[in-house]
Amino acid sequence: MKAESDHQNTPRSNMKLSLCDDFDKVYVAYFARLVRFAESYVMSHEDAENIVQDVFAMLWSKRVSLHIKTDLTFYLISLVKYRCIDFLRIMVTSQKNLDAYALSLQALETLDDEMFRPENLMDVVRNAIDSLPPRCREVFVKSKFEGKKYKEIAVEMGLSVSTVENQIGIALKKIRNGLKDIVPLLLFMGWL
Amino acid sequence: MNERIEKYIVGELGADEQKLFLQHVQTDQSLREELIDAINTCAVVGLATHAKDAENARQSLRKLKKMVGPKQAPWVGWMGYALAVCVGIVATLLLTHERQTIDYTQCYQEFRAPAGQRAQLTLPDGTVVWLNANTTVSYPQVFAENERHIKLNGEAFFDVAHNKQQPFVVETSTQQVRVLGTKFNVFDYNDNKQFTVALIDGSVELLDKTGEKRLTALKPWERVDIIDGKATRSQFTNDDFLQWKQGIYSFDNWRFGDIVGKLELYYDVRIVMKSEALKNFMVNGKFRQRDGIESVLRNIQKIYPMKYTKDSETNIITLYDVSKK
Repeated sequence: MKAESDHQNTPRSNMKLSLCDDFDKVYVAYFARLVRFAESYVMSHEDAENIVQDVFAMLWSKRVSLHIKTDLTFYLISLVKYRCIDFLRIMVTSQKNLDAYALSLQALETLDDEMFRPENLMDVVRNAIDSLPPRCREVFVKSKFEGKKYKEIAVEMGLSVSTVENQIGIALKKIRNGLKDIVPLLLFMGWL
Repeated sequence: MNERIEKYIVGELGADEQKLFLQHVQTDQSLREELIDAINTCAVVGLATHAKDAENARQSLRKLKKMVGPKQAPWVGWMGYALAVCVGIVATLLLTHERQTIDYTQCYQEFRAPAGQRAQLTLPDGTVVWLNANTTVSYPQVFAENERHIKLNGEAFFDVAHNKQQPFVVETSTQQVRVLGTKFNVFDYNDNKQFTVALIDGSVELLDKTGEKRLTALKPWERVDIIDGKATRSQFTNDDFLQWKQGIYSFDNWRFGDIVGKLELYYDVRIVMKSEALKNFMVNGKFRQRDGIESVLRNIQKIYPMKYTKDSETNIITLYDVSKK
């Protein structure tokens, strides 16, 4: 399975979709991506799906009066981000996995919304992934996008687990480098 | 990148290993920062599309349509929860997974420019808002059907996207300003006894705090100042006072005491002046916001003999008049 075929470019036309008129198209274009985003923080796939579903259900019920002029990607990510923050604020009051949830909450609160505004965001992300060496990319995609464990990947690709581990490490390092201009480490930076 | 960070991100750390790792992260600040960076990076990468996305989405979409039905019913949330910025929503335990109707038009999110800095934000309807220092703007995640209602504490300039069906309303601690599509500046820091609205273009209505009583309407180049409850309407030709948007504080023949009052608001400091003469000194000047308050004071020192000290504990700046009188 070639890594290239695993990715489709988000069509530019997605930017012009309206929640009001093209709800289904918007949903199909964004649902899975937003779930992956949420899952990075809430850790459970089911919780992530519920959060994103919650957001879309709300948008569905309000769609007639929604006139979003700003970029849809930015708008949707913001909604999901804030819904995740609300979820995490509750979870840190429970006793289970407290440390992990607290960490996620801090990470999400540190994430500057403004980085999602530029229209070329997805191109930069796409590029960071596509620039990975082929085998490295394949391992990374199986892990991040197909949710496969190291053991599974090792078997599928005929590699040792430690090679898989290695490749993931390389992938994350290279991707971090590819994104460094758009994912700032710091909190809100006043615009002067 | 730390190996445990990588494993944590992809969920390959065993339960015990994870527990230990997180304990370690609690105490090691730089490790924590590196981990947070990795979490965020990975989250952003997940936004890329994948071949199976459309297929998975369609399944979920069918489920969604079944749940909400064809009518415009209010969404019954998957979980009952207290939103930190959500007004009037009762907190219920997440663990009981209670279903509750959530009114998203009451869930406000905040955006803030810290002391000494500015910010600019574009609202979902296309309205652009410039925030001066030490200013907070709250707006609902979804605007209500009949109006776009936002709350302001501080000073902001609005360039409102035109929408006849949804008037734009700015609510401060003392008044409400209602507009249809227009450019205007609002100044109202909580606990500071002044409210000002100045109109550049379009038209605005000034209402009382509840929004029910219409006090007056403004035409371009008019401003209303309400100080200690007393309102004055005037025209202005000089819009230097709006230069804060470019990071410049412009004072055209102001009492130094009044300038200090403004600086206290913008930089969130207390300034005590030990001299009436100093307070009444008239100043004509422009200062760059980013140069900071001490730079302003040093500039004043060049034209009036004064001295200042800053108490590092209380953060209070005291100004002394050292002129020979």
